[in-house]
Amino acid sequence: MTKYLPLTVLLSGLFSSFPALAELQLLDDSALGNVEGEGIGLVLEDFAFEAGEDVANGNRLDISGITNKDGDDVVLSISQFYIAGAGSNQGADVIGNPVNLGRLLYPYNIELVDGDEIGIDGRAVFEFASPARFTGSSSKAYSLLGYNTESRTESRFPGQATASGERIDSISAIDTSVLSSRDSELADIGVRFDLEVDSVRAQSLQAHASGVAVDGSSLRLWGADNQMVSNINLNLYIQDLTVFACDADGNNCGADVNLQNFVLESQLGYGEEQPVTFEVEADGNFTVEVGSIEGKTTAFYNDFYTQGPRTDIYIDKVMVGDADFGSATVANLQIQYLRATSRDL
Amino acid sequence: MKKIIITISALFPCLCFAGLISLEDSELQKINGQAGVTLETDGHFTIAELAYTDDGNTLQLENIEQGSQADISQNSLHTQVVDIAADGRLQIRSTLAPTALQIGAVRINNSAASFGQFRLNYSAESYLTLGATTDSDNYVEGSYQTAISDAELIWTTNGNSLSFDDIGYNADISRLAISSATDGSRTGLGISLDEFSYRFSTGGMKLGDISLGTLDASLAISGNAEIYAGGRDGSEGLSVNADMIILDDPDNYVRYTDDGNSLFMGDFNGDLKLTNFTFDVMTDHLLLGYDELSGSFNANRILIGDSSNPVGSVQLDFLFADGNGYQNRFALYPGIVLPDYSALPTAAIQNYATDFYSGLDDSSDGLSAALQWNLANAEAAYIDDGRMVVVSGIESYGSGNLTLDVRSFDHDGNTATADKTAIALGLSQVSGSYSIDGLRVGNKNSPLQGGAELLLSLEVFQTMDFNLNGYTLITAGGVSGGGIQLDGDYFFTDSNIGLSVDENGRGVWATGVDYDIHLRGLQVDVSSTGISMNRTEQWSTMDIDNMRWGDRDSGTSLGRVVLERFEKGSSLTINPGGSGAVCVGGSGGDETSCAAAGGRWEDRGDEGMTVALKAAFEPEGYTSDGSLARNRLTWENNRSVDASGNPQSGSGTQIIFDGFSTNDGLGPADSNDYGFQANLKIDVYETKVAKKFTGTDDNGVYGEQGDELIYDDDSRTSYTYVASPTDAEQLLRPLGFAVQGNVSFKDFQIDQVQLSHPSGGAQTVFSGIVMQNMDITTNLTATPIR
Amino acid sequence: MKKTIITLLSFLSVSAIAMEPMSADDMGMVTGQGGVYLSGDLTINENGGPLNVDGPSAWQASCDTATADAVCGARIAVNTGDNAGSSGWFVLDNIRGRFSFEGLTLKTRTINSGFEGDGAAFNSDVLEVGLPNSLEYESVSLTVANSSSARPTDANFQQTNIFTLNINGQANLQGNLLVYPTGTP
Repeated sequence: MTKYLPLTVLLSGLFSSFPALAELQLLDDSALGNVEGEGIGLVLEDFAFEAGEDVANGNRLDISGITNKDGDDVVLSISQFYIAGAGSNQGADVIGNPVNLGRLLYPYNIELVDGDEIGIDGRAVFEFASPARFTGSSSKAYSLLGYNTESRTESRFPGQATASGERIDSISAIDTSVLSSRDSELADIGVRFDLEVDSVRAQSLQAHASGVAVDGSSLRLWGADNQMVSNINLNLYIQDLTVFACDADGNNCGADVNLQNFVLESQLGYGEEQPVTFEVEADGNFTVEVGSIEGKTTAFYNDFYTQGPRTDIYIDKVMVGDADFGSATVANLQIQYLRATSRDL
Repeated sequence: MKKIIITISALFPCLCFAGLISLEDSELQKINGQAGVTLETDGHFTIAELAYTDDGNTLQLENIEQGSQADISQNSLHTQVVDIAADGRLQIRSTLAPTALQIGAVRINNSAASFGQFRLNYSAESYLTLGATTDSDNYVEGSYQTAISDAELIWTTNGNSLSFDDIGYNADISRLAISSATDGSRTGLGISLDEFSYRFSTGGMKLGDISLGTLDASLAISGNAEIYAGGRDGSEGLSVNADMIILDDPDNYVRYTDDGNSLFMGDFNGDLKLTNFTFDVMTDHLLLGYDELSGSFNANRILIGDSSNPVGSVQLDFLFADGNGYQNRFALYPGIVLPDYSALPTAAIQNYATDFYSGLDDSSDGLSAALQWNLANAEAAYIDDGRMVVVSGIESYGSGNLTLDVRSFDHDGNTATADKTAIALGLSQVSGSYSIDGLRVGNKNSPLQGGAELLLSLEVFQTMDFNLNGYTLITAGGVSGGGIQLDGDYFFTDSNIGLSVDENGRGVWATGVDYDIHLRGLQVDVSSTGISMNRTEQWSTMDIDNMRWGDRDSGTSLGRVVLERFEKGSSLTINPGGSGAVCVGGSGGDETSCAAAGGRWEDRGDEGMTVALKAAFEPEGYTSDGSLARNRLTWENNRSVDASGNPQSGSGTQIIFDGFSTNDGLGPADSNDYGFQANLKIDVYETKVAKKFTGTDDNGVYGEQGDELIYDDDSRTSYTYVASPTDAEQLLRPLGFAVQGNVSFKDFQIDQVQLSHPSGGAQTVFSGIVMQNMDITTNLTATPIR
Repeated sequence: MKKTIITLLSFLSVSAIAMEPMSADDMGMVTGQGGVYLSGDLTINENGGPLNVDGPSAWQASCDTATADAVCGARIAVNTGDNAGSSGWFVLDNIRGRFSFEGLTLKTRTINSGFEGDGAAFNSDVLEVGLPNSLEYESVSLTVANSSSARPTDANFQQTNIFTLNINGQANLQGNLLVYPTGTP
């Protein structure tokens, strides 16, 4: 039995841990007295969370029911998970080292948005949003990334009309003043996975992030043709991310993979022009689809090229052990069509 | 004779003032026999009208007739044996053969409508001794015993009757004294009763000929009353000061019995003090009122159904007095005063009101009242196995109109079955307010705490101001024979509900609430295990204009929330006894196995209460009124505002949880017997309250994280944090509510979740949510904190 | 006394007595508030659910703490499609387990200072949920699945289990969750 596990895990991780996304209605300081947008604000004050490290006593979250290609049972365990303030020392100092997630004036927010105001006309849109981002000084509003641009002309869909616009050529700077979260409100987050194959605990993988912000992320849901449609905006900023693998006991760890100033700015879906849908088919398989932009007008392609959803990833510095691999950039990624369907479940 | 009547009038002042005067004015009896030894009165009389006039206004008792019970036009026999005892005391022994007394109508200033017709059937034995006074202030002293048997009291309006059958009544006053009384400049009559023991029973409260159940009671009381001339209005009328003590007698009880099962309140005591109670006849009504009524009441034994399992004790202290711009006044009008329909808040209410009063007009018999009240303060305490929780600082005020009549009613919406006789109670334009300051736990003097939110689970809100119109029909016959059935329509309009409010009135408020509730066939029964309320059908809409945080009027709002409900066959039962011994945080049947499983063993005692709720949510459908109803929850915001800045319902974006319903497992077409069930076993118990962080708390007391809050002593005023409390210290843990709950359902379906846009319409986001086979058990302790 | 009568007459003169609405400050009499401290546990389907007892035959099973029978848990099915013939259901199935916590608090709170200056600008009320210091999970499990129809009793019911989550152990927490309205209603 082969399963599209990674996708599932990714998605469930997406929904459970990273609230969600989309370009935010911005709250600038002058509007504070009369906050725009209505809904329920959520702030975690002096927050810290740690799910223990006592793997031997079964203190863990197991994901089971999966088999590898040899038919062995595979159990993926999350044996440690923590959220804390800065200086948690990779999860050693969590309780007593809290952090505020969300500010009173820029909280996590659940609301119904009038679609007329965000280009989804005639729809009521349910939105779950993380703390806002400010306009900032970068070339793209609300973006952490300052960049050098170049003008290009490309087709957005094979065989369709071309579009022209400015594209990222290279990243020049990171502007953290875009975040509404202040430095003291950036979190340390870490997780330790353990993998068990055929009842043998094989290895553990640990990831420890510090200086994490998800400001400017959102999940929007609405109905179109009486089914659920979504747009997702995931904005992630991590000042320092360290990943390493160890043996089952957590010893004999390999070299650290260390990423510094990791920036992910990803948008999925473009209103109802490019809806994102999640659906289970009648045969029991599920499908995630980012709608096709085939057969649109030239005006749409031009708009999509310059304003449409896009994913940019930038890592200021990648190190493995002591070796410095420099920076890495993935920019200008636009999805024309994506359909992922599980098979043979 | 005259003095006896005065004595009784002190007990029933409002009934008897008129009687007192009338008897003076009338030749009641033809006396046969020889005075001094035996008086035999064999009489029948009719009086066309007895009148009592107060400042030119007249209360009229019309068509009075007394005669034999078998045939009121025949004579009834009244024998009095008068004797002088060896100590010189006068003794009068009276025997009254079965007699009927009927009052055809009670009117004011020849009003078209009457309070109705009254008839009393009774026979009586009484024994009065009167003698020299031991106190020079007294005119006369004596003792009095009376026994009334086989009595029946019937109240009839417009041809339909409410009756109290088989009334037995025994009163034994070991010492009564009549004296003069002064109250400032006024001089009146003083009456004192010592060790008055009082017992009554009724074989049945009947509507038509169907019993609602029986009522009986036994009380030992002492009391004093002062009666003065002059009421509250004009120069005539009456006023009374009275106080009464319910003696601390374990034999005191009140009992309501339905098919052999009882609600019982026993071993109680208390006191009551009434200041300047007045009685006046006005142009079109009787005006009753008082300056102050205070009292306390303690009941140590309360049984609901199960006679072996007491619920606990209740203590109540209250003070009614002028305040908040309100007084305690009752204006009683003869007949049915129809409401001013056009003044009722909505067309729907006007329709229900018109329907309720159809067939009645200005000349219809009944009782109408305009009421105004102010409860200055009340404290209500509940004691479970010796542990006390006080709902403290209860205040209420308001005013409104009430009508009461007896009529015939199609109780089951089926013209083929016979109509039942119903008590019809109409409430219109009732505007009121109540609030609860908070809780005190441990004793009545311990500091006031928050936690009134805990009462929300019993649908008691912490504070509320409301406008209410409501129409109730009460008929006999619950599920198991006796019992009571209620059918009613209730409309709360523009009401404000405080869900969690602090001392400055800030908190979470539901404001601008319109709440209409329609009950059909709510049957109240007492069984051998408890009391049950079965609802044949119920639908309601609660429309909250704003859910506000902070101030009631200006707090920020979450928007509008509308909850519609439609249920058939839902029920609520309350049984005595809480959870008993429980294992919290683990599984285990005894202390050892519970501890081994990592749990904490708590024996919460025999008292307490179990509340079992079943809600059978119906799929969308038609009510017995023909309206379309369903279960639906709507949250709306982004509303546009009108010229006055008020948000307009329906103008914003909405999320709609549409058409939720329960069924027995196969989907909405399946039966719906199981519904959504919640069973709550509620006790008051010591609870573990751990310090959440190391440091000093709001009261400046230091503790390490995880240390337990332990009171210094029984007064429960000061406390420290203790790392490992001893057994003795554990008894000084904070008291709270311990709730063992179970929530379960077989199948709960939400037809669809929609997002609706004011111009784009509704779109479905989830076209179905189905939850099945859920059984959630909780052991929770909820402790009020300061 | 006379004043009383005048008040009373004005009250009675409308006969059916119209009430003036409560004034804004009428409710200022509530005093003393602190909130609620909650501890305890919550157990889902420890001995199965009501459908296991007398439900349709597909559900009937003898359930106790030890059994792994998949029908002993609770089930939640959600349809994000149009519920026409072509759409199926996301399912969380066989949900069971126990959660224990100590010291969850609920209260309302006015914030007008602190929060690095945000408090004074905020100057509003919040509902404060004080998180428990510890949260224990015992044998918490659920299966993520896809299904052709909502109920196992439906015709042509098919279900594919994707994976199962098992959670045991303890989480330590600190902090408050603040909940409040964020704008115009």
